[in-house]
Amino acid sequence: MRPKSKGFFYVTTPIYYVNDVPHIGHAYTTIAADILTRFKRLEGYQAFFLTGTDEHGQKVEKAAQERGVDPKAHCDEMVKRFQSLWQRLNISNNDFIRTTEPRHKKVVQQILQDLYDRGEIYQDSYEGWYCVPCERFWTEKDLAGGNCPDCLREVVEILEKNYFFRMSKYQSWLIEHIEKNDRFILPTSRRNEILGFLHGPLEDLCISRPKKRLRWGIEIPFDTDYVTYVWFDALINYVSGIGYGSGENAFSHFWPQAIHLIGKDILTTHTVYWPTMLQGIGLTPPGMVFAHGWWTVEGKRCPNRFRMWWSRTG
Amino acid sequence: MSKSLQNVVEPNRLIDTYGADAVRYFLMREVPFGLDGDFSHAAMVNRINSDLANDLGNLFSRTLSMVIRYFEGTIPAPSPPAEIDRRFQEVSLKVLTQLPEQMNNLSFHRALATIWEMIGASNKYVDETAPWSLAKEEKDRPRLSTVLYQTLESLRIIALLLAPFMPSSSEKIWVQLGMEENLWEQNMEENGKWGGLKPGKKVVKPTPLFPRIDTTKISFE
Ligand SMILES: [Zn+2]
Repeated sequence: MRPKSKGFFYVTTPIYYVNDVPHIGHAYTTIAADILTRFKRLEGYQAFFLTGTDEHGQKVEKAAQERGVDPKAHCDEMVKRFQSLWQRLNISNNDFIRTTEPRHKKVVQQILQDLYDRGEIYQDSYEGWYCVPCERFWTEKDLAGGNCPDCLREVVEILEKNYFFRMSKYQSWLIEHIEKNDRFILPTSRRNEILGFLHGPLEDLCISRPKKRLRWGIEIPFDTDYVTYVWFDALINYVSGIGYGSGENAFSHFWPQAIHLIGKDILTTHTVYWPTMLQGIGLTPPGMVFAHGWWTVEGKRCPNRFRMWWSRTG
Repeated sequence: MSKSLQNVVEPNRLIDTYGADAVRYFLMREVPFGLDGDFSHAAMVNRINSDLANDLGNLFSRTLSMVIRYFEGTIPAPSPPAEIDRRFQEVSLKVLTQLPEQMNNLSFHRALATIWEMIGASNKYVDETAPWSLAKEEKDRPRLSTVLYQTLESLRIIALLLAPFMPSSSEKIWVQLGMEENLWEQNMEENGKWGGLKPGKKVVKPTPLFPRIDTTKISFE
């Protein structure tokens, strides 16, 4: 008979980009999360393990178009490759969240509206460069020899109105939080990396994309000419997946214990964007973000494209 | 990286070749979580043959075979422990104290190394107590019972500790030890304590847990 619960435990993997072919890197993070969860369950904790797929963005839209199918139908097919692999690997996740699900979209829109109502999101004109394959904006100083610093491909110049989250105002709060909590970012080398990054000024975060450029995303509730930036959409899975905003107890039990396992390529999004977003929403940061390393295969370093199993951006 | 190199580490193919538990074990054991690592088939095969087939697999099959041979598969009741038995029991206690801390630090490779210390200690215990010699004399029967009970009991604890890492192999060990309780409803602290195995229960004839991989029979291109 299982004795009384020792407490709550919550572990996540990144939600994987549905268009990707499941790789050893996806398997690595997911196996680690599974082992941790199973261990905690055997210790007597009530443990919740969430994984899922990131299903919005240009590449999904384009891939669906090329096959002549609806983007959602395309995702429905692609997601099975992940779900069947997790079954074969004996992964004991409690839930699997897909960002195209109504339960997720509802929470993203609710958070956007709330942030907008409280002045945490504002409109401004955006000037800079855009990398189409990475679906990512860059400023002049980010560029590497005039190209995308992540994939080294050509970028296009862009001038348009967009919506921004006031990330900059949380910079000193974030530095203090990282300094006070030495287990917030692990391993320590990654923690130092982010503290170093935060020495420079933190800018506000562009969180919208005009529909004329991207239709396959979550519509911004206060301006229907726009959809939500993929990262803003994707990160919210960690709270939408355990019922944030639904009034259920599960959320308040599990959220304070959250441990995010990630690959080191998505460190900034998880330790800068995400905690400041949560601070804006009025939620506490996750308890721990642990960034693991990369695998080479038979001694060969993987090129950029191959490295990005975990995410489409750097 | 070439397309073909990508294919040979496609997870479904790795599972087809090595099995899900071996893949889980290798990825967690080979590299400290947080550092970069290299995947090679040679390293994978080496881990399977030495850690899984040799250390764990052999311990399991030789222990169960002896229980079947000397006690018709019935788990014998131990006599009062000798000094060597007590020292052996202490290893499991040490492992059980170290593991939670290592897991809290997501130090999976250390946790596995710690569990393997116990597997190593069990193999050493069997070698030193030499149950095959004890089986020759009727007067050594109580001693034989103790030694085999102790080894079976260590396997029960090993199955429990390994369950998060290798769920299906651990379940196999657990069930073949005659354990009727659901492995996933155990509590590590409570059920990790020495003495949980019940004498009188029947063990099952062991099936090979991790067959050795013949490197000459595997090709990846
Ligand atoms: Zn790029």
